[in-house]
Amino acid sequence: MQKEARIISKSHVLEWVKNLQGIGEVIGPTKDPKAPTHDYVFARLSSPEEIRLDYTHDLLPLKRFFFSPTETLLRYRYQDGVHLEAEIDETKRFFFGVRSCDMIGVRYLQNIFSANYEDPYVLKKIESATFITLACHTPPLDTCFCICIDGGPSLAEGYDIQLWDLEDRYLVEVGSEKGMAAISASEGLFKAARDQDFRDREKRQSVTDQMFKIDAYFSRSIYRVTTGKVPDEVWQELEDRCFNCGGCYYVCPMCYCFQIIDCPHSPTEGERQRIWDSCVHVGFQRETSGHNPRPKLAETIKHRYFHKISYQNFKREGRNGCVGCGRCLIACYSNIDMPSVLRKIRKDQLTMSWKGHFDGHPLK
Amino acid sequence: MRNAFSTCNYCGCGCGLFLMEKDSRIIGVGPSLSHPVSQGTLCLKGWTSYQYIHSPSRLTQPLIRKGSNLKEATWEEALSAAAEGLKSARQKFGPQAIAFFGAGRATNEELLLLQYLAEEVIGTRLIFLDSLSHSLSYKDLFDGKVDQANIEDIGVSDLLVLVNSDSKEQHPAFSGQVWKALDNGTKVLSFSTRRDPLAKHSQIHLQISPFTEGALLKGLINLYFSDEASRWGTIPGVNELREMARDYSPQRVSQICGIREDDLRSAFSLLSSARAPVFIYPWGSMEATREKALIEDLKDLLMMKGEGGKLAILYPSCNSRGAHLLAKNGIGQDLSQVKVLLLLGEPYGEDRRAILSLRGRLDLLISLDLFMSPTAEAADIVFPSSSFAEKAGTFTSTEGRIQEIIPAIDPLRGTRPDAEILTSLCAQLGAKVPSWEDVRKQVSQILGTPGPRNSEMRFEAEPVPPPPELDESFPFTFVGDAVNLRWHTDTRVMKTPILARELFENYIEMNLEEFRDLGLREGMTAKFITRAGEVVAKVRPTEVLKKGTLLSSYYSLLGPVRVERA
Amino acid sequence: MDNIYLPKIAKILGIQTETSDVKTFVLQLKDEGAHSAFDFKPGQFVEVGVFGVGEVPIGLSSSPFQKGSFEIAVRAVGSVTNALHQRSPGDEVGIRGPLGNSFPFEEVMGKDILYIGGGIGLPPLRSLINSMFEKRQDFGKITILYGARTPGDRTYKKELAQWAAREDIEFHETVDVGDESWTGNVGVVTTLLKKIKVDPIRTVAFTCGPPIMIKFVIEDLLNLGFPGENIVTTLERYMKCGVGKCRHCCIGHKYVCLDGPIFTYQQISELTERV
Repeated sequence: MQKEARIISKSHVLEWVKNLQGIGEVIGPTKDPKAPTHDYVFARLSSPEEIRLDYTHDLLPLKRFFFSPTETLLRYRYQDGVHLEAEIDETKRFFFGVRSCDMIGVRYLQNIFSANYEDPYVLKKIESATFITLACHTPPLDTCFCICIDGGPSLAEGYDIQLWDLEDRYLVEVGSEKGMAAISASEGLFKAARDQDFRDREKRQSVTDQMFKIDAYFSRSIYRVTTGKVPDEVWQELEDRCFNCGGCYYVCPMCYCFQIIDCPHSPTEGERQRIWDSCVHVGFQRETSGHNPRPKLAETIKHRYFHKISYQNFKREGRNGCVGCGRCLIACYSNIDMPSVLRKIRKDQLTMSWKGHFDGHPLK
Repeated sequence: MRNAFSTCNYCGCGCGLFLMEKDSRIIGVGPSLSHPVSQGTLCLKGWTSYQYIHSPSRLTQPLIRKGSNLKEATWEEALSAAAEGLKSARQKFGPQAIAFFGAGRATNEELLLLQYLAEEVIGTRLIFLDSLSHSLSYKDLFDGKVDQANIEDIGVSDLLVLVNSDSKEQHPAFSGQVWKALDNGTKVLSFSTRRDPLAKHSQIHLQISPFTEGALLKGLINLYFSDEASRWGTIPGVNELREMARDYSPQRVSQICGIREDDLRSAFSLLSSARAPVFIYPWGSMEATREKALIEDLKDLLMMKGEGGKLAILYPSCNSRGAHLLAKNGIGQDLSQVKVLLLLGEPYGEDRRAILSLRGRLDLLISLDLFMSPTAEAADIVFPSSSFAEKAGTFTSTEGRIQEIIPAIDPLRGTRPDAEILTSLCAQLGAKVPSWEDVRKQVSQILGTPGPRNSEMRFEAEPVPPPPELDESFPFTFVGDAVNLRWHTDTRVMKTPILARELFENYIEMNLEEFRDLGLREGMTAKFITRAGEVVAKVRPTEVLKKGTLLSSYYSLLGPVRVERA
Repeated sequence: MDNIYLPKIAKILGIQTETSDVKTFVLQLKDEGAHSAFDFKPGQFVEVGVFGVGEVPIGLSSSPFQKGSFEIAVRAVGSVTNALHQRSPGDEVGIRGPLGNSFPFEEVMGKDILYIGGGIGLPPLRSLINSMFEKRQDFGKITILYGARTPGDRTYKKELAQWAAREDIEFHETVDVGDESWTGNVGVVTTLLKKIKVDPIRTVAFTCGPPIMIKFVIEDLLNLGFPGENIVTTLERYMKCGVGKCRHCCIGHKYVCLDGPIFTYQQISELTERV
């Protein structure tokens, strides 16, 4: 069934972005001309020209815009008793050029933070946002494996607008009323989509899947983790390799563990903050008495994978905790990323060596 | 929300990272995918490096000691008091009674200004950068005899030789390359006292007795001489080296190091057949005289290896290499006549003990720091410094990359960048104040100067200090160990909530059998007594240490030790 | 949308010293509306916050039938609990909750009830015990067994005496180590099981206390023939948000703050991670 669709010529996109800037903040992929390196980072646009829709990946996923690395939950003041203040950010924002994997990540977090109890800090920011995604025609990086875990390269739902790159123009698929609103403000820039446009899209997407370079076989590993059949030696080997850097958590669109700390500014006032914290760290569950249910990295890593791919958590959360964005392959120092761990669990060969995925840097 | 590209302020790797700024606060950190060193990675210190910036414990007011307490003062009062103290000390005791110290985490610009203040304004020669004594001067270390390895060389090498290099903990970016190279077929030869996780995957791991690296390297040199006796016929120094190496037969070396002769020969065979070996050594990881001998041995070995071999010296702090280049003092500076000490940051380990032990004899101790460190607590005047995210400057990474830090936010209210504090002091002392542009120009001139090209081979035969003597009263040896989450003096690390949580307990590791023999059980505390001091800490059994060795991250306690139930 | 992280302010109405390191705090929510809306079931907990220090989860120890105030028993072990112990009546703290699941109440009406409490495990049980006393006729035989390390470590000393005096329940208590004035039983709480007669099929056992005590109590109950669903206990984990988001308290795929803290032994044996 075809959704409401339009066409916008690439030469009109900047004007569309400019119009959106009149309505709310526009956040898109940018490259800092002053930085000595050439990284793409999602940032608030000052001018539309900053947007770089030809980007590869922002190594930090979109979650930081909703589930902030540092979030002030409340401010307190002792003055004849205690006074509390809390602010919820409901700024209208447009996220332009979001990849499918990141979009799924945001919707997953939306589910997590509305289940049982609603988290206003995360949910209000997501509800105030309009998402304009960019379906991938080619995998942005060699590390991508979204096709292995229902993480892309395009979306059937969950977006407000999905853009399909048709070389000189975009096919603009509308997925929600918010998406419709984002178009109607700039109606003059869009044309009706014709059958030929849909055919061009089909033709371009027909070759996409073959372009992926990583294989990540989930099924057998899911079974083994679910039934507890993975030998302890596998987790021990992961502990030997793991640098405890937390990188896999920081760059994962699906990781959301956190800590809450009180930060007094003075004896009478301060704030309570939520900060990012990974369950892979050995101190994550340690109690005040010193007792620690998971005192070794082997156990915390085992638990993290259980959370991500076990059937028990699939039932609880509605999907696996992986979208195949490939960031963990880049962030991990010692090749214990999701596809490699899956291979290890699946093949259950302790002497099987860890082969790196690439000879050299994934960007080369 | 802004993203500001900067450089990590912890170790010598010099990873690139983005600081996320929102409402004048740094709220997070992002990795840099295209940075040549970090390549999209960061260690936990890097990922959490923004958390201490807004810690409630940041010093935000100068302090002056009145009686037994430090009291808040204004900048004018503190600068004036510091200047007066320096002036009157110089008058009373002469400039050589005043010493200056700059930590390895200070920028090149700050270190240059510190040197200017010390040498030009005060007139003292006693200025120490990063360490109280470098085992070798920068020029002697990088004398051009062997090629320096950069991070890219690790991936294309066919043999990595890790000398006392604890793979995950000290320089994660480099260690990550080692693991990736290992997975791609590169062989690893490692020598260390601890059988660390990488050791299990190494082609050959020689678990050597503490402080016997020198004997081991001389043993390899000995095998080179046996193997190709005539090859180095007329090279200067060859006779002295051969003479010295004679004492290190495979049999004797295996005895000293506690390894099998066969393993030593296998290690040699691996080395001599390698095409492009890269030696990796963490600078500053042992006492100065021992390290000097080790470096010379490494260079001699590489010269014997010939074409293709490279040496990677891994400096500890983000600007240790910059500090080393600028430093002019080597081993053995005498602090006994010092009456006034000014420290930018803190020294650590043995150096910190040496400095703090001067406390009773000093007339004036001035500290510039971000937090109330032990040195600041002992000080008479404390200046609150701005953090790496609040100032501009450059760090020289371990490979020699000069990288910028930028002020992503304004200096925290009440703090000032160290460069500003130093120039204010110069002004108070009536001296000419160098402009920021001048300092930057100097930095680029000094650091841009290529090292001396020395295509002449010359062997240096440095005698190997023997390992410390053990006896009944001190039957164990303490070996220092790097723990990634601990850093330097732990000042910044303990103010970072996630790191402090992970480091909740100091512990010392002991061989499992000896642990049981002493009647110890998990969770117990023991007292560790060395000739230089003692510490009470939790003790844990481990299978990765040989008998007689204890491992701790207390760099300040090394050498012979006795263990008692606490 | 409610803000689940924003505490309500509660005033400390009174503080009672229970033991050398345990105090009972009598609290009342400041805001009238919040106060009248505050209702909980035995077994639930609240996140108690000292602003500037942090929050800790503490089980509610008064029965919901008690109106006008609610109680928690706090042992001083860490920074937050020690900060609480420094507070005085009139001071204000933050309260989030009630959170977590609750003890079965209606579900066990008509059954015999066996309580086995140890030390600081008594407070959450007390909430259930006092609730059952309000509806005494709805329950069969009620037996209460309580053990503490020393006579000084017994919580709710006055209430224990009242329970001992009640004629409609069976009550026994013991201490691990007596003192000069102690004339009662000496021995661990499991020794009290030998003094009573229970029908394991008709009886539901509720047990709270130190993990080691619970381990032995459950062993003995299983040996007596109690089916897993008839043994009810509480599990503890380090907790932070209390609302099933931060994942600090999870055991396998269960969250102690959402699926617990009350679990039957049957549920515990089905957990995918060791307790």
